[in-house]
Amino acid sequence: MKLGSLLFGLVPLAGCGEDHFKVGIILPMTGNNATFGEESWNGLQLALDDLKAQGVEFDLKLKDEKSDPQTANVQTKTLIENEGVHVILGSVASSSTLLIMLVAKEAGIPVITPASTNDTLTEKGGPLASRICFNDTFQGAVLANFALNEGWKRGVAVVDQAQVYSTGLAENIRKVFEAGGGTLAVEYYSSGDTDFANTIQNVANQRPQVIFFSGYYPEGGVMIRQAGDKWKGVPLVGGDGFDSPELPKLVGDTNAAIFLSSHFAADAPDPMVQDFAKRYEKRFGAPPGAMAGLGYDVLMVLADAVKRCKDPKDPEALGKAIAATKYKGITGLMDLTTPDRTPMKDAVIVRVEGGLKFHCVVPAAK
Amino acid sequence: MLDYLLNGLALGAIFAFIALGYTMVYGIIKLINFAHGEFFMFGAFLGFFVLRDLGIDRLPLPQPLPILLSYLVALSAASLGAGTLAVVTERVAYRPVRRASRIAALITAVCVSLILQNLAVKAWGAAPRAYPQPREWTDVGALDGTAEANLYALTRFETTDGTVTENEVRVVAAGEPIDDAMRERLRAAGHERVYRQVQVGRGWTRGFVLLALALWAPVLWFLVKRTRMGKAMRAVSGDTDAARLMGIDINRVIAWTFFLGAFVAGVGGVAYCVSYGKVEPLTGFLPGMKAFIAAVIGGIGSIPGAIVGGLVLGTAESLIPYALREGLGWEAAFAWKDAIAFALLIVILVFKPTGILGKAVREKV
Repeated sequence: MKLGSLLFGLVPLAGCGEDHFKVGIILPMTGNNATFGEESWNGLQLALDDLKAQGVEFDLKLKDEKSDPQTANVQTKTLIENEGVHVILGSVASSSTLLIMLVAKEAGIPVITPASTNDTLTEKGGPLASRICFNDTFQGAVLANFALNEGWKRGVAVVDQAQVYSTGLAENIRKVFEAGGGTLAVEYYSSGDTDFANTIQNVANQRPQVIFFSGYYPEGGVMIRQAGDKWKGVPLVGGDGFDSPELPKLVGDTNAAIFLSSHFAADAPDPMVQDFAKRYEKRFGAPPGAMAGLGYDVLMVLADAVKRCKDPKDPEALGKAIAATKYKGITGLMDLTTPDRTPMKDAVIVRVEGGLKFHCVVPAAK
Repeated sequence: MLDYLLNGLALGAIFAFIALGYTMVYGIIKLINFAHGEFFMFGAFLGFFVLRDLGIDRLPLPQPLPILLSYLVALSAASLGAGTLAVVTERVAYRPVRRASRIAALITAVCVSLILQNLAVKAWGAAPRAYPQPREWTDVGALDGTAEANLYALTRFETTDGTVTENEVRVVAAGEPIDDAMRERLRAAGHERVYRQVQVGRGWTRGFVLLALALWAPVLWFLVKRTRMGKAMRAVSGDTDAARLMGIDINRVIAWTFFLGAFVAGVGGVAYCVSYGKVEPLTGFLPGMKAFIAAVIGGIGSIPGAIVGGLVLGTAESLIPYALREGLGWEAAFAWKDAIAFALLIVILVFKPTGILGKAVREKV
């Protein structure tokens, strides 16, 4: 095994002994949320190349969790027990990441999730679990305040009852939205559904001024397309689960005003973002979504922690180094020295209009 | 109320479409063909590629002829393709185990279903893809006034990795005036023709599904009851060995049955994906399951039963939660629609184990 990986020519890291540093990656490469996995992996590959140019090499071991938490659970065990990885990066959907973190906690392996925003994740995952994205308390407030500022007071939240991300985010939206004088009704569906005719009708019956989506893009996009004229004139507001290049395609040609909050927008004016977006588009043929940005940053954050760490193969030491991270990446400032190792980051509001278009920045709450 | 009823009927019609195939195959060889949902998915994918790649809608014919033509070709390709896949599957996987025990055949069917699903994942990727919306192409020269809808064009894009993709770009926004300068700009960018996306309303897809079911059901009835092949099918269903002794080519009859069932499923697949907007390798799984339930509710083996079962299941899934919500004020009733549908199945089977239109047949022991 050792000889095998040596043959692949992996260069040891400075001050790390002769063995390679193995990074387990768990992403939804197939299944419902496949564009999340695809984009994150593209971002990781760019980061890997950039690190190589700086003389830093990682041995990335990618496992597909098939958009399914149970598979994520199994893949985590495989990575830890069979591959002997030193750290795990993943996944995107909070339901999957939760299981990854719980398994890794047992084994004492650090986990960084690039994109899972559910509030309680890093608490449940223990001191070795961290993330480089904002959480849903912040995201819920961003979405609720965005709607309130536009003067939309009567809302309906469309919630995926099968996803902890979705129910958690909706609850966070409700807190801020109702505190700000809005009223919020809730309609449920389940991930994997394709027929939303009745959900659409139920929402329309409430005559909302704004519709919040706290679920993921495959159902949300299809639902908006199916709704057509039923929701005419009602603005739609989604979370980062909507940030997928597939969303505008699923929605189709529509006059609906669709907004979403996210971590990163490829056409944001920041020059660092512009440089990344250009290189990404040149290589992969499409502008990067938020998951691509986070995928890139998560490896950079890890490389930064490994560099600062005396012995990165020691999970405790690496976990401490990660928790001491203060790094500026393309998705913003990542200060993981907070009590739950969750950075306070800016969010962007993106508008869906043919593609994903930068709308505005919402600064991180202090 | 009417909305919920229509939603339920349209969904039920799709279940009925798939249930027909289940019920016909079961009627003939007592096999529950779990791969039937995959024939449905295969048809949907063929339709997807025809609509996306063949460019029939770009033909310079007066509208809406190119759009209708593209859908006609998509539906034909889907139904013939699904039918062919079914015949091949039957030859390769089911015929060798036809004489084996029922359980062996059932397990084979489950395996075939998984194999086809995974082949589809390998071939086309597992991500759900947006089903193409109809495109109404026009010459740039024929544009004038203001654009009524967003206008799009396709551009080719080559990445440094060497893959070529076709990107959709919006070239004119709705409401923009189109003048000579605009036309010049479009031509300069290489867009001789541009298109607008046509919205397929719920009314249209609903209408199509219900109409197709209404047309197809009598045709199927005719095929089974009035043709020689139909007579042979009924004979094989009654007693396979006796039918063979009477000189009926069993293999041909069974292949024909598979073909017919999958042919219908192919049409259903395209209709389903057009109305719900996406396609993926798992597209056939849940509708397939529900259709199987519909076939059982209606009485498996009975063709009118499949149709009744599908419509009953679809309507129940829509109206029972509606009643619970409006009548009892149970807000989350719609979240429980699947549980309600399955509970209905149990209730029906408790009181009528053979299904609504099923006949009680004594098992030969």
